[in-house]
Amino acid sequence: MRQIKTKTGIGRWLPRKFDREKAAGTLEFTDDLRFGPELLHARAVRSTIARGRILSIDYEDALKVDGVIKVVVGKDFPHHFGLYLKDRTPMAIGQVRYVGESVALVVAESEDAAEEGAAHVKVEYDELEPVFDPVKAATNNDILVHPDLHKYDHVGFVTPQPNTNIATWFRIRRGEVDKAFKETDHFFEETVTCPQIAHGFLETHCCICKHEKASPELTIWTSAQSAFTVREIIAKGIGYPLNSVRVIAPPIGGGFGGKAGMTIEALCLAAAMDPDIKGRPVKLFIPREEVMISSWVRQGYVARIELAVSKEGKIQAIRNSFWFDTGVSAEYGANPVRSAGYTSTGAYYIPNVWTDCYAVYTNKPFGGAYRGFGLPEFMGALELVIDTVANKLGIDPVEFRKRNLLKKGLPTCTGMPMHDHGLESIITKVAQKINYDQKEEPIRPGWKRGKGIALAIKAPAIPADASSSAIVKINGDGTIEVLAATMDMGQGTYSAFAQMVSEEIGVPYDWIKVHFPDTKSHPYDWQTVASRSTWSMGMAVKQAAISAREQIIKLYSEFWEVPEDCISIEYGSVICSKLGKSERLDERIQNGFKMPDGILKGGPIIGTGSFTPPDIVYPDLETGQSPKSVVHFTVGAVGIDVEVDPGTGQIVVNNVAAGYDVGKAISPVGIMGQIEGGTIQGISACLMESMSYDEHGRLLTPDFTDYKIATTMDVPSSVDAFWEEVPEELSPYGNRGVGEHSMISPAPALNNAVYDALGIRIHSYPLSRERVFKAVRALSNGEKDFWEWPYELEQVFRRAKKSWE
Amino acid sequence: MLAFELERPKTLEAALGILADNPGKAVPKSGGTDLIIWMKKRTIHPKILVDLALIKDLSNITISENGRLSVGTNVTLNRLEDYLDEREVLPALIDACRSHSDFTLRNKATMVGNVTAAVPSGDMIPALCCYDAEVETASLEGTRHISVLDFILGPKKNALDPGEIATRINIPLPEVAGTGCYLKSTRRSALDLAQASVACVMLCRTGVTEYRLSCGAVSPIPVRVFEAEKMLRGKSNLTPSLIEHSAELAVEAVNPITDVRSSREYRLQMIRELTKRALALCQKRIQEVA
Ligand SMILES: Cc1cc2nc3c(=O)[nH]c(=O)nc-3n(C[C@H](O)[C@H](O)[C@H](O)COP(=O)(O)OP(=O)(O)OC[C@H]3O[C@@H](n4cnc5c(N)ncnc54)[C@H](O)[C@@H]3O)c2cc1C
Repeated sequence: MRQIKTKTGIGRWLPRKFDREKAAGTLEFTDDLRFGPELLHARAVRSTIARGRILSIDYEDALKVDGVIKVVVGKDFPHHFGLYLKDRTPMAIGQVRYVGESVALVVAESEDAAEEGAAHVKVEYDELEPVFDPVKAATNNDILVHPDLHKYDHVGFVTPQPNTNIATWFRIRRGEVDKAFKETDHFFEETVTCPQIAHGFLETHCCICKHEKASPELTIWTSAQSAFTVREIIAKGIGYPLNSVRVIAPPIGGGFGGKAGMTIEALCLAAAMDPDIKGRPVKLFIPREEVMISSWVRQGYVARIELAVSKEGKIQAIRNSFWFDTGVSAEYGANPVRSAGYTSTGAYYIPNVWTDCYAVYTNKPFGGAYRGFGLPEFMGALELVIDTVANKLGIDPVEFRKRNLLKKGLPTCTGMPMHDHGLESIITKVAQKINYDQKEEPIRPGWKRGKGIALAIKAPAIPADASSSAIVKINGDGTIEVLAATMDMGQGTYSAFAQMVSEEIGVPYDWIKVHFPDTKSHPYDWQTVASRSTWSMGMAVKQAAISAREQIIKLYSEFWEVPEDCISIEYGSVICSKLGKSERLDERIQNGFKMPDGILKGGPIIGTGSFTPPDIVYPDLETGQSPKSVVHFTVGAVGIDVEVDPGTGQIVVNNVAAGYDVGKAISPVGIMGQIEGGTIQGISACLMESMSYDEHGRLLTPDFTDYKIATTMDVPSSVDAFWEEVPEELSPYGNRGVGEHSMISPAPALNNAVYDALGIRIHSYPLSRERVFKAVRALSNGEKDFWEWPYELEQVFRRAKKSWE
Repeated sequence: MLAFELERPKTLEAALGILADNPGKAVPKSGGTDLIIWMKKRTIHPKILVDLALIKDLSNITISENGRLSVGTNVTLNRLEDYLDEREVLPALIDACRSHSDFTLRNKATMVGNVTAAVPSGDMIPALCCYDAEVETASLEGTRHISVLDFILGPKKNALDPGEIATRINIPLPEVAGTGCYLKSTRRSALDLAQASVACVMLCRTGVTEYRLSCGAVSPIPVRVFEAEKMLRGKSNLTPSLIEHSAELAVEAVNPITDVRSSREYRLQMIRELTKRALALCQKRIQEVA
């Protein structure tokens, strides 16, 4: 007999947690917290050159500014930090490596004084030649961004190559690649490039650090996705025990990976741990213009893909060379490079695989986590190549994809057998939804219309031991509090957890609260990344809820003297139909039950749950092979119908359909939101997003005046979103992640649609109006391919007429 | 952003007094949508902001008996657009208002501010040049009238003397039937500065159709394409070759730069394309009215 009844369990459409407060503007973000007059403010002085030795830092004048109390420089705080590879110090020590790197930190009584003080710090450099082009940096070692690479600590699955600019080199060696290429019927080689892009979250970074004056105790309030990982990186970096570092993560205003791991916290800490400052909280607020140089950006890439295809249209072999432009640090960026590498046949079965994925250091802001984590990059290239090859072979691109699909039981590029999934039916539906088979007339006179499809695939890119734990507390009135250190940054995980708890304990959703993380009270969770939370933390939450329920039922069974299976919890009341009893959960849950034998039993009910993925094996460093390289994959497809104005290069999306196999929709409103949001973000990235630099490595797009993201006027008014539910094996309810996946394939689908519309293949993202216009002109000169080497543009810029003076 | 003092005078005289008393330190503010951002980015460091918003005399739109539209410096773009739209006058300027930023920003941004800012991509400038608009100024020395074409001297440089304020922009309303439009090339469809832009005005004087063409964001100072205007004068039927030739003349009249928003080459191509489209659109609009 099912013991639980609820109307607000998994699969229900419910209002999301905290939406009301967000709409009212009352939710307090880190910058909204108040610390009184004790609070100090910090402001970074940033490098104005891309590479060079620091000769002197003169801050005499800064100290004269009213309110400035201290200036801290790199050598005052020489700790190295990093999640996978400790290649980062909070401030430059001895040399700078990109324009924008922190060189000094001015601490003052007010934000204005700190800003004014920072403007008065004079830094002298001995300039050295920088390197910006990742392929040049990877293949020519004249300029080393990190000459000390061999000294840096790193985890075992990251493979830095000393005396080069290669921070990690991920390899797949599977099958007989050379032979397959030699014997193949058709051979193709294509190159695709994409610049670094930025997350564009609304809330810029903000952090407050306070170190106790008398004892080594540290509290950090920060806009971070992963409170516990901040704690771990900081504690390891400065050699503190974990319980001496408390990290509080208030609600964050969007992350998309940009607030994963540690971002600005160590920089703030450089001030807070200063002997003259200890005891006072220090706040570091990053203004918009400094965000892209203070935190992760998505790595740029240059991808070369070679395919061997048989005359039956079956892919025989693939050879991938991916140069990821990881900028000045790969402490986090090493991992998306791996993630791309161990998924480097996409959603296809390819028997022979050779992959080299490199994270390459350059003198630019640092690459790291970004929604999709290596897969929008990888699939952004592969799905163009698949489309190109299908077109060149005269096979319908949808048919070609289906013919080579990575079906259940077939090995992925790491040798792990693929699990069951609904991709084939998703592809069919996406094609139907955009009328893929029909060549339709453009809606706008003089424009060109086309349609394109691309597949998505991604596994959670987590260390083998990325764990989660949760606590479910039943209050004395039947309401429930959940401590699960996931960050709900708009993806809606807290709603999903509340639905799980409602499903398991039978109390209404509205009675259930999920709290924002505080490492002091919450049990451990690795990170809110990798689309893992509803899966991994979901396991812990479900377990904790079941444990709490079992305790409740056990107590009632003893109290009512009936077997446990006669008791159910329905809509917040405990019921025994046999006895005709129905009682709301009340203070006895907290204070104990006077049992029939007169003894008080029970006490506050706390359910706990812990989860760690049981059987991941890191891919072999030489071959990339592993019996189980990842926990599971989420797959999907995107179809896009576009029109292009040949006169200006403008693209308008008429229609977009996107479907994913989510295993089970726990919170459908959340999934809908994730698919819509990721699709729009992917379209935006494809159409216009690019971090552009001048020939000196200065970011020309530091804020939203020139870093453009799509507005509502640039995207379709709706996204035709849907999902399939082929259950995942090891999962709370069969569910798997979908938060990142919707960002993976809109760009290649759109690019494929533009190819269909124009008949010329654009190999360089983004498809800006100017670039599309240039492609149209190239087409009229008889060309079939168009690409602009992103680093060549810097050279063009060097020669261009840039001002009228 | 560095600290500053905010003055909010209620009369023009008081505003001029503050400016005269604080040479080099005080600057006037209309909507502040350029000014505040420049201050935040530290490209300028005024000690005193003279907010003109409370000066009633500078907050209205009037039409004089001789048909001169006069727009005070506090008039926001949204108010201006509504006003022109209701009266169905100055269509190129209506288009320009609508192409500027987005609706919420237009609740603050002003036309006078757009012109005094003197940024080459200023969206209001080309249409104002086509309509022969002039800037009316005031200082303790008196008032001046300067045509918009002469008012902008270069990027972020205008003809105002220290202590002088732009009080209004005056536009003679065309006495004859006609139409106009403003087209703008951008990286995205809202909230973007022009890569290149073209305003076109068509005036149907009895017997002689007259055209005016002006380009934005492609030259340090405003550009009227007088050569094309001369060639088109009297042509009521715009043939493809006339349109093509006009576009050529427009390209010859401009001198764009390369920056992060666009290359010089693309800007030239867009001037060509937008000129063609603007002329065609005027032709279409005039037929719709007829
Ligand atoms: C998000 C955003 C989007 C934008 N989009 C566009 C766009 O699409 N197109 C565009 O053209 N611009 C755009 N701008 C720039 C700006 O909004 C416009 O130039 C606007 O028209 C300026 O008007 P304002 O009243 O805000 O000027 P203010 O900022 O008040 O002033 C601008 C300059 O003129 C001076 N000034 C102001 N009033 C007077 C006066 N009466 N006398 C003398 N000097 C004066 C000020 O000192 C300052 O130097 C945008 C700005 C933002 C922030």
